[in-house]
Amino acid sequence: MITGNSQPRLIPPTRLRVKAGFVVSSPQDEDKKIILLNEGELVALDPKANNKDVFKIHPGNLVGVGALLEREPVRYIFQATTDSTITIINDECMESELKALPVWLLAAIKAISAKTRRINESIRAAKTENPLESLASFCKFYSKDEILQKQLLLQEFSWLTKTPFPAANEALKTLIRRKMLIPQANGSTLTVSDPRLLEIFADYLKTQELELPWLPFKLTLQQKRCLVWLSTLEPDTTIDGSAWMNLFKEHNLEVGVTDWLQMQQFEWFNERENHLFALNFDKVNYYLLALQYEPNLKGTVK
Amino acid sequence: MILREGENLCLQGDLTHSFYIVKSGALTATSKDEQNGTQVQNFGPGSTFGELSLIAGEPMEYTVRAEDDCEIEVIPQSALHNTMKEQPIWLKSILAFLTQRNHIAQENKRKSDLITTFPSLLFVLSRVPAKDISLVALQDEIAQFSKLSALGTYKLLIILQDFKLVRLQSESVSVENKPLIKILYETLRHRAIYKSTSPNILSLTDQAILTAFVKAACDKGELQSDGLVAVNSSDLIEQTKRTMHGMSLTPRNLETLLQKQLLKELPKEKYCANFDRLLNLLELNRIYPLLDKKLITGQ
Repeated sequence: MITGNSQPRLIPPTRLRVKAGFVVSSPQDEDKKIILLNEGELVALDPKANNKDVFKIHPGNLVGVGALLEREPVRYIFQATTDSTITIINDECMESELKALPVWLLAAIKAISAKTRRINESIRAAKTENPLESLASFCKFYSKDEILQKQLLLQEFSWLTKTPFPAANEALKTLIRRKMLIPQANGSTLTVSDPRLLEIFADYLKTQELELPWLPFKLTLQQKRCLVWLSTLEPDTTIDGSAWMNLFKEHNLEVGVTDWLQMQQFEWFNERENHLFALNFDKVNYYLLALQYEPNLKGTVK
Repeated sequence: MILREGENLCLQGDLTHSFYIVKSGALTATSKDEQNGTQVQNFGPGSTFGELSLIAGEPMEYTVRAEDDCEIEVIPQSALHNTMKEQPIWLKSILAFLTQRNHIAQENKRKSDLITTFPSLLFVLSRVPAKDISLVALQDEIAQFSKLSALGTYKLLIILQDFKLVRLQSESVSVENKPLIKILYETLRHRAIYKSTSPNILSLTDQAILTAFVKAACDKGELQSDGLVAVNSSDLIEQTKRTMHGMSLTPRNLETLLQKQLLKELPKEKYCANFDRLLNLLELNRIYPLLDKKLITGQ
């Protein structure tokens, strides 16, 4: 019948009087509903813990909001402990009520629900974006001598980062393919080929992610020659800038001011007092190792 | 409401009690949270924000700035009050429930971030070769395992400092007791992976006997050539009696400690042990029960 009323029809909630012991809701119920306790008392029983009494519901309290609005699984059985009066808001009733609300209020309700859902998901989610980078960072803390149990290593990494086991396993396989982790003959143990290489790999992946240039792979031929020569020097070599330039020249390495400034950008030297520059042997080795293992880092190693 | 490019609609923490619907234009929302650092999100036509400000009267979560000229519909709290007068009473309860659930989720996230990052911090601290590590470098390492902000990591370091495991300096952290950090990490790892209590966690009786051993060793201990400290059985019995309020030390009491090789039986009625290891184990057993509370409260 056409009534001319454009307002959506409201389906009222059901008000029930229940006896003590009556089960008002259980995980098996197909229809999801919110139960508002008007009078009396309900108890939440955990069917997974032999119907253990978990908590009590008092007048004015609601249960089942998550189940109805978010489709979350119902965990408890709700049973009346005394004769009680309840209001049941089922799907149809809620839908009709929500349809009648102003659009902005509906949007605000949905936004709160979505926000809560996102927070809960983030609690369960993996704590790192890139499992490969994270696993490389994790493995770099192990020395070459340590025999690592593959399964235990994966469990430990998954525990620390909440990375799902299959994703952690894939990352591990990649490190093995790139020869950064060396499997032992028995297949269940492995060793780290070089912790420094794993550190370099994690740095390389980070710059890739940030779309930044990876400096070790941007060196000119002349800079590479300088790097190799620097690696032959005594680690503590400390002289001033012009002495370094002369030293390069003596070894047939043409180094201009731009090259010199770039070398400082590469952190091959640490500036000390009185305009002295000390060779940063650690950084020189870092670059050298990166160049030496370029195929491993780029994933083109056979 | 019209907002010109570059104007702020609100600042984080403002009590606007309003809900906003973007009709046109683009806005940037920036929030600074002590645990999650700075976060940025963008709003465009159709976006809404301020729901908790409208429904629960909470302060705005972000500073919102117009990136270009914007038209925004503002729903004030008076509109909500008027609407709710026409709605069934249970709808108000549902709104309160949703808000409360959001608060619980936020609190759970705060706790979870601290609790789940704690083992990563122990792992890194137990493995860094140097005694001192810069806070920036440490934060970079932790970022490979967790999204916890620098301040969140700092909170965890303060907890470790309370237990005298690290010492915080202005820009670095000094590892004060690496062996204890290591066994604390191993204890947590054991619990997580094997779903059982680590052998490092001792019964009260075992702790009392080891405490007695440490006291006896301090008074009358003899340093062995292998670096272990030996104590006469009679001294240990005497000390145990004092520590355990008159309780006698029986072979059965010592069984677990001998099995775990925390104590070793020597000829001539003596017992020996690795003194440093015992001190660390006793300290671990002291701080372990306090950890959960510290991590939950974040203090």
